[in-house]
Amino acid sequence: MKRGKRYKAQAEKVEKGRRFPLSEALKLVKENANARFDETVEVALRLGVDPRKADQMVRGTVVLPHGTGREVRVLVLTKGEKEKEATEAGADWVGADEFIEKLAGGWTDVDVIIATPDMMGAVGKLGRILGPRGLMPNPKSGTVTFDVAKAVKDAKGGRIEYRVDKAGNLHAPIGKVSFEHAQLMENAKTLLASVMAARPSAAKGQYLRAATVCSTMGVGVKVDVGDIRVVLREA
Amino acid sequence: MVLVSLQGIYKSYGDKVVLDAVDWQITDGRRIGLVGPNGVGKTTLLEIIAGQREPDKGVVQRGKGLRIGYLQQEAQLVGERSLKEEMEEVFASLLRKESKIRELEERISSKQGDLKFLLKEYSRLSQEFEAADGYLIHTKIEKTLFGLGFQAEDLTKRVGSLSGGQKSIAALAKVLLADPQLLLLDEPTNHLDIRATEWLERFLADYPRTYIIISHDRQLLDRTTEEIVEVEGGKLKRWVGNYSAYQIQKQKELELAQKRYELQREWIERTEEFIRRNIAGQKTKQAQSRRKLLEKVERLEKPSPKVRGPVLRFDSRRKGAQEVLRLEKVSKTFPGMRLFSGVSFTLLRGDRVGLVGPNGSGKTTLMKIIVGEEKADQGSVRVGNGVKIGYYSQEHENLNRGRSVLDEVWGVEPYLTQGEIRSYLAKFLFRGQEVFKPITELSGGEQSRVCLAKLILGKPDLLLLDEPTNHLDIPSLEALEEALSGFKGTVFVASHDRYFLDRLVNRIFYLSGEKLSKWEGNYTETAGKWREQEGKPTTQRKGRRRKARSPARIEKEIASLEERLWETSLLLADREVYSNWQKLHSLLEERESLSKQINTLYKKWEEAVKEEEETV
Repeated sequence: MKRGKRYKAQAEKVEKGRRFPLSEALKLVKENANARFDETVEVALRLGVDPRKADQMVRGTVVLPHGTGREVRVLVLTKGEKEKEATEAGADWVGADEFIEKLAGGWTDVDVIIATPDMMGAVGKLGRILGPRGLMPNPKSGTVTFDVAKAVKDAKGGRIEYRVDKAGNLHAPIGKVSFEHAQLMENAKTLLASVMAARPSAAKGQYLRAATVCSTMGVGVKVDVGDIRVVLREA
Repeated sequence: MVLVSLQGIYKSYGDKVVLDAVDWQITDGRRIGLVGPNGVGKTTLLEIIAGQREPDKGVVQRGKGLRIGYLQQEAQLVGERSLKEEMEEVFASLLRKESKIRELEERISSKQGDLKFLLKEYSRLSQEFEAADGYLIHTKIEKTLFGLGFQAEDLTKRVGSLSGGQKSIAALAKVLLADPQLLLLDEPTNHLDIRATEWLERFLADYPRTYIIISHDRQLLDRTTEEIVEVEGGKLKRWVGNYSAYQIQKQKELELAQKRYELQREWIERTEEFIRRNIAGQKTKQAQSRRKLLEKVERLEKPSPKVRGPVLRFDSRRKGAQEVLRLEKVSKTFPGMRLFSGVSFTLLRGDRVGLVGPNGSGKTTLMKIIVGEEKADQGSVRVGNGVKIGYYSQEHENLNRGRSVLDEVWGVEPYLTQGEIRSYLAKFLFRGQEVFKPITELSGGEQSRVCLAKLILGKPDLLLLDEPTNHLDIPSLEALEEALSGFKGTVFVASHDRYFLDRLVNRIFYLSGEKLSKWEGNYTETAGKWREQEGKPTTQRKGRRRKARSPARIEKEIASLEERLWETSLLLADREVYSNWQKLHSLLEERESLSKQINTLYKKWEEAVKEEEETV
């Protein structure tokens, strides 16, 4: 594969084939990031699961202690007194029928949709629009709930949803390169602890097989899986 | 991982053994092309793998829970359901799950039952639905159907009301949608037009699982397979690489075998000579020992050259006019559907033209209009003086099915003797008692050979061939290609076999959207061009042409070009330019091209003004 000058320069700084301790890897990613915008720091994990089997699905949500550094646009679909609660919690849009109509018309300019259970009948009809975009509210990810204030705060305050893809890989953001190293470390630990806790009982063999951290436009830095286990144990 | 394992498979039909002690392990992720002449047992092998036919002997083991998708040759969907419903059937269990989810949503919103339990159940079901790509069902259906050439309005049509070709394509779509772990395709391109074939090619290229494909489309085999399994003499032989690689390897192996055979023959001759001379002399012991050696040696069989196709040769009488065929503004409409209008072209002696276009664009109708089987609504068809047309129809309609092969071909040249006709038929692989077979009992490939035999015997000057490659096996196809390359007359052929078109034609006529466009070059050279043209809406094209013709617009263009010409003349006087020969050269070249453009535009302007005056 042909690589650019910027990439090559970055790749030189990362020792090929070496697996770095988590803390060192994050440092390298921060040092290497030199794009003209605030790059997102991402974690990529290879898990020992077969996601084609329903009982080996890894999916969950976690609230990152320092947020993702990104403005999250939240729509709350609810009626009555819950509307006020959602607005107060900081939801960007609150309503019912008008937004359902808007969504049905193809509007999906939103990052998270939260719905109260009484709205599910109407929301279900939008499955074919919201489903493929990953916007469908789901009790498991905490987006179907009567406690809208908490859900909005979580979504706004750095709650991320992760899900293993078809090949058994999992990707999630843990902040921006402008974050302090300690902040990135804490976010990474929280995410990793949550993923480890979500290990399906049907998964066979080694669960966490490989881990890599990178920034949006930076090179990937491989992380020592053994070190992750040590870090999590200490935490 | 082994998906299917065949051990010692034996299968015969009557006294004809098609599979003889076949062993084969089909592992995960392989892309296999299955080749061999017609009637050698390829389809039987696929049927045995799919579990639709039992072998006479041997063991077939399939992986636990293995999903096999098998598209039979000429498979067709039938029934009263709509095309969309038929495709949805593939996802029946997922759709049931979806309706259960909808039901739960209603119960959750109307608070029927324990909310906690309902939410948990909802969560579980929707997770399973999502993991199985439930939200993508309709996208997948549409992507597959549209890729294979169906239109949005076809989705609601009853499957039973579709055309024969479309029913076959629908069957293919259904097999592909089921996403089987092992995909078995038997001649999938028989009813596909070029666009759909290319879509299938791309689909297979991205297909992550195992497939075995039987096809006479060599380009498809070249682009989609990584190994070729050849069925020959009841045995399987595996070759690494695609179809072209297989041909090269096979040729090399044949040459090697031939060499080995010749070396052995020479050695045997030498040894026999030695024995003959010395058996009674001083060297009698040596001679005896060599005789023993000779007896022990395993004699190599003379390698037979590649599987033989029919021996074809087209002879034209080379009489008739230089202008073989002229069509002027031919139009045809069927009730409720306009096929084409204003089709005009001329074919000269020796022309080789390929006719391509989507299914249903009217290629066959155009051929029938030329031979007089259909009448054009408008326009004229003029066949050159003394030109004899030979027409090969796609459905073999011009075969009299009640007659035998011999009678059918004899009818073309009744003054020949039976012996002459039979030796002629032998070239088309009809030997012995086979010539007495009734046409109805022949396979598609055999019927094609009878059609070709009739065609060649008629010594035509203009060959109109409508999908001649369907049903033919690869050796027959190659024979046809060679025969047509040596043909001195004119060829006008409708085909979806890209490899065939590439080797044969030097012009392409593209029939689509009621219009016929003409391109110089073979299929690969022109494909990009006519596609590009098709991509643009017709109205826009018309609009643009009209604009280009308007005198005011031309005047503007002339003015800007003249301005640039004036600028260049100023630049020529510049010291910096005239002292630098490179700059000078490029400037002079630019001036020359500008003057040429201006001259052409002036001509166009005159024409445009004239046209405008006439319309006023």
